[in-house]
Amino acid sequence: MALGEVVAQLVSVRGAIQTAIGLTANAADEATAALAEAEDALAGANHGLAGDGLDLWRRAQSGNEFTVAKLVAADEALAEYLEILSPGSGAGSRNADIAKPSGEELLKRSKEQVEQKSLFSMITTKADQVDDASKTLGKDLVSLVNIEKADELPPATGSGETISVEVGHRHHPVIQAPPTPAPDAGQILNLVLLGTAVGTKVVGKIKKATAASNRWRHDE
Amino acid sequence: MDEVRDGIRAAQDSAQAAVAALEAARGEIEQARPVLMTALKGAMNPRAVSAEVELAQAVEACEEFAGLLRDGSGKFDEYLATVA
Repeated sequence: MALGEVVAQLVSVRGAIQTAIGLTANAADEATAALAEAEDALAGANHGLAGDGLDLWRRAQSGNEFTVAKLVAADEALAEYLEILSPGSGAGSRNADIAKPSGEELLKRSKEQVEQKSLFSMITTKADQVDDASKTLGKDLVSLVNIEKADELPPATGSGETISVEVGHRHHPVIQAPPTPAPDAGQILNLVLLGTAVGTKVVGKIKKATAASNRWRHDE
Repeated sequence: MDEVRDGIRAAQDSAQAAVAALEAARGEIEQARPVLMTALKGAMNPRAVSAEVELAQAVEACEEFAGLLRDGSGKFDEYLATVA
């Protein structure tokens, strides 16, 4: 596998890890809220089953932050490796702005997450077909995002081949970039920017994941 | 008693949201792991290899902690059935 392909795949993996970090950090917050609500509701209750439930949730609460820390460690390891493979390309840049959705936002956006996963799959499977012109790549990817967001089937555009991809119970047309050579550093940078945009689109505006992992590491 | 039940139900809703988030996170990681393994095939860099290990542990952790949240929610159901 060409170096450019390896780098592109690792960049896409980092995008998935960062989305998972946001989701897991959100789970940690929800678990904390659940525990607080249960403790409040059961204040003064002296019952074995209630105590067992609280104990289980306390273990889950602390464990979720452990999970976030594991994901952050994986992301940092890949960032370092990418910096070795492709120094100065931006592929190995640290992500100080990992976003995280609120619980309500997460549930409302469950459909959007499915669509984003489909986009991620397509990016990873087509990593060896990235267009050799960065402008064309950008236009194609923007088109993909727009099509994924559309409720109706829009007419196909661009020069690429149009196929149908099932997302949930619907079929969406997506555009496949024509086969081209492996990406260079400029295209890798585009993928980095795309990953950032997709992550931001999915996980929204909240930024507690990094804080959660930092807390965990400081407590360690 | 109604107040206790309502409070526990609200807590269970939060726990359910946490489980949903953990499952979504696990799905993201599961989807990325084969790509990572392909990209790192033959890689000798210890940091790169450690990323695979960290992700594997993260998947296990997601499953374990979602299970804890479900089990805890089940205990509260049993409690409410007992005291009702």
